Amino acid sequence: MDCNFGLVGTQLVTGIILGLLYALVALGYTMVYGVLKLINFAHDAVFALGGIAVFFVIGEWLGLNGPFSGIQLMFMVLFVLLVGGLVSAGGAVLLERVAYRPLRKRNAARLSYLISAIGASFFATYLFQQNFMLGPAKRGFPTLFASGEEGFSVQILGTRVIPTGILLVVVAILCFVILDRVINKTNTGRSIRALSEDPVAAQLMGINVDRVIVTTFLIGGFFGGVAGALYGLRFDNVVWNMGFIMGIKAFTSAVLGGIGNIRGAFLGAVLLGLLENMSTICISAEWKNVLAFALLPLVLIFRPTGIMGERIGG
Amino acid sequence: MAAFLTVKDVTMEFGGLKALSRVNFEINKGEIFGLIGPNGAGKTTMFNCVTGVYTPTGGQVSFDGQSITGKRPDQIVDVGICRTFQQIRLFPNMTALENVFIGVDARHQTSVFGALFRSGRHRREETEGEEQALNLLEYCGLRKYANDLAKNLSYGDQRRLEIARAMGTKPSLLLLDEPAAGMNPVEKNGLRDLVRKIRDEGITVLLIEHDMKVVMGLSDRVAVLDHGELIAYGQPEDVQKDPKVIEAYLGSGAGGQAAVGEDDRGGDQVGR
Amino acid sequence: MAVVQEQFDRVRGSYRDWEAGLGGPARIGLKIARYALAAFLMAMIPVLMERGYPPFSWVRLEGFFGTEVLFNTGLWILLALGLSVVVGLAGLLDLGYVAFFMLGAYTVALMTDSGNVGQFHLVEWPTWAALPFCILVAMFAGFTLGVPTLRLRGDYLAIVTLGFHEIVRQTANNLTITNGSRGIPGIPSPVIDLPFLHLEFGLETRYYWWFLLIPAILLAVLMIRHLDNSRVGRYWAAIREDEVAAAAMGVPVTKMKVLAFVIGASTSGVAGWIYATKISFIAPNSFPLLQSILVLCAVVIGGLGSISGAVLGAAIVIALPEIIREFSGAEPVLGFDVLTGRIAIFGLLLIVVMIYRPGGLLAARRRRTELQEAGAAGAVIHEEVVES
Repeated sequence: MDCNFGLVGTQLVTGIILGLLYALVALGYTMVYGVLKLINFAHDAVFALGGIAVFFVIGEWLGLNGPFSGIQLMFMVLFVLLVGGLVSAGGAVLLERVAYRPLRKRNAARLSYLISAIGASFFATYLFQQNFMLGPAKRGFPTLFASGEEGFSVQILGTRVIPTGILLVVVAILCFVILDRVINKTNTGRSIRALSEDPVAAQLMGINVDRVIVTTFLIGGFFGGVAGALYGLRFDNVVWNMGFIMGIKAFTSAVLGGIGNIRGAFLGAVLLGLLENMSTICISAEWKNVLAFALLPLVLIFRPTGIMGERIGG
Repeated sequence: MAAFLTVKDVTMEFGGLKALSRVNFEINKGEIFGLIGPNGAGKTTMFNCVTGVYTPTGGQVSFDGQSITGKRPDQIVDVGICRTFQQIRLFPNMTALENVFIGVDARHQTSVFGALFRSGRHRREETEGEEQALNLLEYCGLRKYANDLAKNLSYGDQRRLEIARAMGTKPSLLLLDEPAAGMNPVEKNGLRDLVRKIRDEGITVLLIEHDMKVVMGLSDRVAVLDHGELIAYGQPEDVQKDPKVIEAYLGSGAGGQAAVGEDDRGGDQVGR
Repeated sequence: MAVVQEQFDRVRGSYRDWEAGLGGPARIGLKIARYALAAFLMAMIPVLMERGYPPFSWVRLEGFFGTEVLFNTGLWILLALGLSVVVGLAGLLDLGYVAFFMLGAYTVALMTDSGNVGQFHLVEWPTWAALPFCILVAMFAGFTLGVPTLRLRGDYLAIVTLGFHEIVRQTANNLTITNGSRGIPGIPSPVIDLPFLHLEFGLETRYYWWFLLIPAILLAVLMIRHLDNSRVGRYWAAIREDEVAAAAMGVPVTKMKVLAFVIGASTSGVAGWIYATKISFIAPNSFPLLQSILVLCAVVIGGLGSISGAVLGAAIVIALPEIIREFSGAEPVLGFDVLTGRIAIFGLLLIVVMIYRPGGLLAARRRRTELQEAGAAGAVIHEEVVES
């Protein structure tokens, strides 16, 4: 093996940044799993929707493009994240209503939910591919930060971290702190935890199951959309199938950390990001994706409850 | 009589919770043995330990001389033990006949190749199997429902169908988990007759039941579990009078005695 | 629609009763006659198509175009039949089925005299000789995938199978022996070299390829029919309904699941052989993940666990879009490009089918009632309490 250890610093930093992006998406998977005990296959489309919404609303319709600075920059950042988050949240709620709820009301078999979710995911994704949406090619994303030499940057471990990276880290950590608070300290969070631990008892205690489920989709969807917007900012583009690989990796992260467990999702995602990027020190980048695909079955076979176990509150 | 099923020091722990604690009892061949106790005592857990759904964290289970601790459920059927479930687990979208056929299939040997190439064995087992299944349905009084979907049968008939299906596997030991639950008095009498009929065929029966009349009337011997421990073991009349048993069910005093079904004319509101 | 279905079932039921009353040899004779008739009818299709006869001409399936669509549909019927065993009969969600197809294709590529200068091969055997190996490799892959993963729960299994497809594809992409992303060209076509018949199946031999598919499809149908009406088929049905109860009744659950994988993979091995030798060039990009999902769509929409369902599904996924495209003159329909947009529509159809007709359009009798209500075993929100 031909290892280039000089890259350690860079890959460590970029790995964590990447991992935090995965974490935001992993949240959606883990929360829905917590209350429904099902993988929400369509979450990849919810994630993509966030980035795509920003592309259309801010890029195409409003025609806004940076670079911005000062108050304007702050406003734009907030605007972008909100558009992404809200549209995705809406998409997630719609998804629940159309593809999941009718099956729940019918007490359908597990297989039905999975197939329905796959259907939803493919419907949305291939819709995005049509020419009246994104079309088959990558599309440029609005720029917010000044780039190149005059742009702001920070040096960490010998790596130049640009504003999009910093933003990603800050937003992701903030989101997790907020969510952790919500889940562990609010009534809504308590309801979610109750439903995920014991659905029958939760119902008997008067919890409105439908409402809690919608809320879960809403929260997971919002964060997924924020992630979509951040993806667009970081990689400077959106593409119709941006959800696909991301979905697999985010889901793998959630399982790695302990599916249904929010802190676990965070941990698992960062770990995966690190593993992925650090592996390129010795292995060629082509095998990176294979790593994520191969990791999942290994985790499922050897430690199916993940690193932190399966309880939603961690 | 040599012990047929031996449960020795069986312990079952889930995390910190001890569902079963060093339980010991023996069942003799050809008897009807009752396993009773208040809710949560661990009776179904015991069944699960015997039938391979759980592997006991301590102790052993042996059947007819060989150890069966930790075997898989399908291996347990090979050995000659079959069970029914507390909450009915039939194959709802298969007909009554098909349900019983699955049980009968357990004793067949047709392999994939036999099925693919329609071997003589396959053809023979298909015809014989159907006949056996129909006979079992007849035996349990369900012949007329042979082509009805299991989920469409009445509750009492579904319980009987579960028994018919289990009988298909030609068990030497049949484990019945609350077979009378939810039945009306008429159905319960029918069930009692059925269980006696089964025992008369030479099949040993281990029975969990809440209805005291049913279980005391049927069992040759009983074992009482409470909070995972065996608190009494022996003839029904003796166990009924055991103060530990009475206390376990309802607290001490007359109320408890009635609860344990001392008064046979008490109808079927006893034993809860 | 339900009324039509009932009538159809009744007619079929009476036929079966009549048939059961006949003696053994008569029954076998009848069976052979049925399959021979099917083969004959299937063989007639491309003949009619090429000459522009109705009903094929009504949907513009004529000439070379028509027979190409026919071939692709036939190939997908084989794939759908195989996946139908896995998803329809055993109830296991496999999202990476095309990995077996791909392995079959690469097997023949690597075992014959491929490549323009014959450089990509492990051995250099005649094309026909590679066929059994394609089947075996696919089945072995089914086994290897199945054993460690079939203990996993449904949704986990699904993702792992998805991963399997990608792993196989990426591996083919990165290994030198498979020539990486450039693929393997020049896979030799099968040749029939008998004293009375000499046939070379090239790209120009029109519908002779379809004649290869006919026995493959009929054998697959026979295999599925035999398994379905046997101890194996009953065991699969029991596993679908309630795994725990099945195990408690002596069903060796994991073994049966692996068996479903292995049997299901076998048809894709054949399909891979046929595909590779016809197209004579394969590359990792010829087998995108999407294809696995499309086969699933075919099976689910067409009808789970039934043979007519698999046929209908393949027709809907492959033939129908081509027909629509012909009519629209390759222009987008309602803004949807037909070939990529069809996938969006199929996605929508999956949801619709799951909600309104869970077994698929032409579901097998049992499956129709099954997926509607789960009962204790399959419920998502309400977990069963096993304690007492």
